[in-house]
Amino acid sequence: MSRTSAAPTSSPVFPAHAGDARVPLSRIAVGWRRIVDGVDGPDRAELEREGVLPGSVVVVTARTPLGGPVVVELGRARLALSASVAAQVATRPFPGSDDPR
Amino acid sequence: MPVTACHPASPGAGRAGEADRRPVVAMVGRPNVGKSTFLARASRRFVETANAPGTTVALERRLVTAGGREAWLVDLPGTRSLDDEPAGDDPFWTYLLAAAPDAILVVVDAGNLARHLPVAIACRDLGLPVVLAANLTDEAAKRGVTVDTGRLSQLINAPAHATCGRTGAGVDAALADAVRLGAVRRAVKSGSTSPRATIPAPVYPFALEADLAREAAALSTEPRSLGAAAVLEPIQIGVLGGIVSPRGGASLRLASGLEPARWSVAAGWAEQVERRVDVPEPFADRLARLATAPWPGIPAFLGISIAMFLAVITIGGFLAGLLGEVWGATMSPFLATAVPAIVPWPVLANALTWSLDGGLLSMLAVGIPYILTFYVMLAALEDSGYLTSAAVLMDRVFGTLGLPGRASIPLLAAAGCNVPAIYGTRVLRTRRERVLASWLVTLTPCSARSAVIIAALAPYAGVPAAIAAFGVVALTAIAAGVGANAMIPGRQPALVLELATLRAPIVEHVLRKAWWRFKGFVVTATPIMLLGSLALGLVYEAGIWKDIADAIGPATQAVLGLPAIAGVAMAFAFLRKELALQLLLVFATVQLGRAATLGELMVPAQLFVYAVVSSLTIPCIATLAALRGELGTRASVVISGASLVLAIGLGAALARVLGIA
Repeated sequence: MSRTSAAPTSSPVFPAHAGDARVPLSRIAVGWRRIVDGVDGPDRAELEREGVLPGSVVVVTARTPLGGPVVVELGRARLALSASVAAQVATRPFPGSDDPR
Repeated sequence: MPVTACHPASPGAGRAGEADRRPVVAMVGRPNVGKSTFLARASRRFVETANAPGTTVALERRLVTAGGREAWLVDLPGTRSLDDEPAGDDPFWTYLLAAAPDAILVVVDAGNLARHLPVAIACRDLGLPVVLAANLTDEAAKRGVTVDTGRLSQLINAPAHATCGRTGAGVDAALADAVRLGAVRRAVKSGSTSPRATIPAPVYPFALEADLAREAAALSTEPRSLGAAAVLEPIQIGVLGGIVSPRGGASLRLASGLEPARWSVAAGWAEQVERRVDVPEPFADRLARLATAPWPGIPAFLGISIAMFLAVITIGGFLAGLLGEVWGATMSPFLATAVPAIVPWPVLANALTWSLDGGLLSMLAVGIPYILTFYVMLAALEDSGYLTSAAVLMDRVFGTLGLPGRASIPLLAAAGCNVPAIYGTRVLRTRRERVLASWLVTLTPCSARSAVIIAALAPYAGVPAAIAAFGVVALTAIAAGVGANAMIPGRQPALVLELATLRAPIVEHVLRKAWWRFKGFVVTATPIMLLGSLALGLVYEAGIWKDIADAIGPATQAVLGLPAIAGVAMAFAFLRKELALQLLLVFATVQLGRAATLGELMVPAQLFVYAVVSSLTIPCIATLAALRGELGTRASVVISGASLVLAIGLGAALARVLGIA
């Protein structure tokens, strides 16, 4: 598996596959790499400041129990997002990443 | 707010009027990019730094010399964009306009340019000279990243330097560039030299550039009347005052629309200027990943917290004993003879001796051993970057109390001493969080109150009783926290936090930061401790305490099932919590005419109620002063009143359950 940083963090270089499911980031399992498809919700500006924008590539690296924060890698940064914030981030699959890395 | 430290109308406050030709250089960068360390290098002086986002909360200004020129260097709070709210209230650009810089030194992470360049591009838009410092090059090198600063400089149309705040590499060069450009701009503004055209690098799509141009034209229109001038908004004042260019003002107004484009441009530039080699993942990064995973992260967090607590208690106890003995052997006899020799009135002399002897000793025996020890450990944890991991792990737990996970830090501090913990709530973003956290802090037994619980219960009621008392206090505090969260309007903002990378703490940083904070504590607390002790001494020496005992005795007996002198001792522990026991014994000696032990004064059930109530009642006077300073009079009165009601209510209930009232 290539390193996360190999992918640019913006611009729609990844074609959306027909039938791709948009799944909120809060429901992505640990180890999966996804592309941010859109951000919609009260924390959009906050997520934007952290670089979570359409086209960003994120990898879920940890989930804390009892519905606690999700930890994702975004480029070389690591972000912790409350489940409620992660739910505002729609994601689509990373091409060629049908399995957890 | 810190913004008031200097007003836009008087740029670079602190200088001697308009005659000051020294340029003002503002440092801007995302949180945790090492700006404070950079500033310390640049000015050869230490600034409080922490490897946790958001520790620079007030405007820092330093006089520096670079490239043979003097300049004011202003450290601004770390920010993720110019319209971010780093202190939870005003947008960042208000700080920037208040600083009225002649040049901006943008500090970015050399190891993660894609993430840090958007802020640099935003600064470039303001129409001010910008110098880029690609900092943390040592950390970047560990991850196999080097930056082509020449190419970066071309792209952003500003000087770019590779810097390392820790070693100082490149710092002087970057600063000298910023000072030079700032001096030129200042000279242009004062009319002593002719301006050179500065061409903004148009980086945005055509539509956005057109919006910018339209907005800029609107902003550069002078107000037609005095009435119109009175309603000018800050951005327009900044433009008309020449602090930022019209296009700069426009870029502030259109910030949210420009931000995605900035990130996109930054990603492209980063691709062009970063040179990467494959290196094995640094151990620190693997450790950081483990620290936030539930396993082994949560057990590790609990282990670290407990170890830290035990270390503070052990080291603090040892040092307190040592200092107490030295004080008792040297200063106490000295004060006991010196004060009566100077002050002719016996009552005042005795009270003064009390005040100086007791007050200074408690500063020495509580302050240095417990608080300084705690500060050193907290600073080490902060500097290592571990605290953000703790914030993530604890987020869910603290969420039920209406607090973000980072509140675990001041609350941990509270177990040492409430005063630094109250100041520690500054790491929280909103006033609501600070009020809730301060409320919990005041209910957390500090080392003095823990000592009271242990000393009152362990010898006379057994260790299990002492543990049970801590349990009762903890449950009460949690219930009170949940209740307050439900009652105070608003809700906790959701967690969006960048995790710090882990590193070995730097001893110099840790010691200096701990010392810097400790000094702050000493300055705040010493006068209050001395005055409090003096008041206590006067009341005691003048015999007023007996009247107080008579007045509140019946109520103490009826409500809590405790002897009258217990009520007085608790009331007086307001001055210094550690006196709750000592004072009780002193009063008992006077009342009985002989020395008595706690076991003779009260039965175990009474001691239990006494320990719990004295732990939860109104915080001590030093804590109250900290509360008032941080939250204002009203909030501090409400918090104290609530803790009094809570303590008496719980005490009354316990007294009935235990059958002593």
